[in-house]
Amino acid sequence: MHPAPVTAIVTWLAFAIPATASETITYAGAGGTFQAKLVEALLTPAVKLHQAELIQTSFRDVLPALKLEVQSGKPAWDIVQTGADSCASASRAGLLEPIDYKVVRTDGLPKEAYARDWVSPNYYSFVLAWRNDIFPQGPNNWADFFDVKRFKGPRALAAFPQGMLEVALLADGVEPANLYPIDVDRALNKIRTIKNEISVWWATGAQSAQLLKDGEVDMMAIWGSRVEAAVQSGAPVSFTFDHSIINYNCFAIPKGSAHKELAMRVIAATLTPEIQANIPKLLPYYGPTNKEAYRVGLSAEVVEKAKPFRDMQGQAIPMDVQFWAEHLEGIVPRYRAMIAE
Amino acid sequence: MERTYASKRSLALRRDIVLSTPAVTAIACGVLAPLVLMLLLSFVGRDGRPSGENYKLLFEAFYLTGLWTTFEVAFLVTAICALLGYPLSYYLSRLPAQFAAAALLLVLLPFWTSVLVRTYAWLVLLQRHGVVNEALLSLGLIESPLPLVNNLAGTTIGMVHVLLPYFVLPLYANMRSIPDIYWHAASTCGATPGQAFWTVYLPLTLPGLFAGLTLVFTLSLGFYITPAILGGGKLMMWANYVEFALTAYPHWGAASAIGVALLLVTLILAGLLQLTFRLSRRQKTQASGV
Repeated sequence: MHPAPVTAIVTWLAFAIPATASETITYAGAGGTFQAKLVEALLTPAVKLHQAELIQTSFRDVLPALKLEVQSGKPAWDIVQTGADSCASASRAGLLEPIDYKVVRTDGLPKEAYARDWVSPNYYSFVLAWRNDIFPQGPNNWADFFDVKRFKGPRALAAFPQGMLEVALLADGVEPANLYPIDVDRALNKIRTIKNEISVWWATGAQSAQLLKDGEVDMMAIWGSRVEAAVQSGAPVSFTFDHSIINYNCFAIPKGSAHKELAMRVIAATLTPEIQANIPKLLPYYGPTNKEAYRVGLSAEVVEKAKPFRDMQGQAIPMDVQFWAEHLEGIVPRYRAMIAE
Repeated sequence: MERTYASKRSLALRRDIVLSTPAVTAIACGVLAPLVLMLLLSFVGRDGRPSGENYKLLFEAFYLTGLWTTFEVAFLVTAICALLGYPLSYYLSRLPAQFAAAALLLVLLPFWTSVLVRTYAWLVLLQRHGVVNEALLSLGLIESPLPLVNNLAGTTIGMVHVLLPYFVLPLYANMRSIPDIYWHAASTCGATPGQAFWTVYLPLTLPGLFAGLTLVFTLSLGFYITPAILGGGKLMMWANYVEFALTAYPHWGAASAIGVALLLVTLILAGLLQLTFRLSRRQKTQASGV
């Protein structure tokens, strides 16, 4: 080989390697449109700020998948995103790195939105939705959902108890302020009264929206953002935020992550008002946890869809994620047993 | 002479070892090792110490219900496969060879389509405002939609569709190998068509029948996708319990115990089916005095 090409290659390598060797952040979420939008709103700008490279992956069931990653000793994930109740469970199982709150600033965040080893970038919600071609007047609240005499027709609830026990208790007349700790027996008994009318217990967000679009059920408990998608697709569907159950999404760092420090800085960036303001813009019916985001100059239309999360009083009820982290393992088998009865 | 025989044998033995090594290694690493690991994990409790707590869990009403449901569905699916598959196999075996090949292709066609795709197709067909219900409604045959999916009915339909070829193939091969002359012989001896079927034809098809029944029954015990999609969250089979245990408990023990239980039960049942088959065969042989 001639020396010239060799020199050229060596020179090229010398310049090329540092340029492509920027640190990577591997982000794991539940996949689908939601992950794509959340990445577009929060992760892409945050990672760009730190000149890192984002790699995305997804899981089906977060806890077993996360446990496998951590048990391997070298988790491939640097940031995991899921529901705050799952983050709280993972925290109890010792699967997460503690958040360094010297790096991650929590100004503007309510105290429910962060814990020792996870922090919440956004809210989401469980709402009551119905086919308005079947019920033009609509069921107005969870009591109506449980009133199978006045509102005949098949219904759907989730196959997991988080949020479902809450709406059963609300229908049974429990005051929102007294929901927690949940009276599990009372909630399960309330659901038993309409069990024959529950034709589907849904497991995934995509499935839930499809049930309503196809008219497989006439009313259901469903994630607010998923109903929005069904409404957008032209399905005759309405919903109410009245007595919706508000939950948080969370970011956490799997124990042993190779890019822990960078992950910390990226998470910190996602909580700044400027980047938080992307949430209502790109994700209707989700809300930013940082209240300062509303000062960044959002249009009235955008704010309207995030209002329940901003005001957080009267209509919407925040979920107690710590309650679920502590009791989930005991409640889930009882909930599934009630379904199987 | 003897030495040649011995060296031939050792040569054959060496050849067998060489030829079987890749397959044995693959099975040992890919099947046996994970199974042993699963067995060990099933005896690890939540605190990481050896314990039988995972098996105790299986005796709770919730899990016993699941085991019962699993058998109920497996029996139902196997029975329907047998009722549909036996006449179908017979019909196929009577067709001239070239037609039989084409017809068999139709039976095999679903085999080559993803289970996931087929299962979702059933969801579209069977749902409340699906093709089947809308057709029946517009024909005036029913007044309100039938609950065909998100329940036992839907799961059974989906599983029969997936499993029917497993029943038909061994039975068809068996029936093809039965010469027509046995029918003729039976009728020459004065048997009515019914008698000829019960005393001559059916016993001859027992090997294929048992093979089909065993395949369908053991496969249905481990079904996961079909009940997950067509069961509406109400119908959980044993494999769905494995997933449930993985997500519900922060340790692998419970899910492993469920897996071990399914494996054991399946092995026992497959063994029992084999035993019944051998016994019935021996009886037949003795009765016919051969």
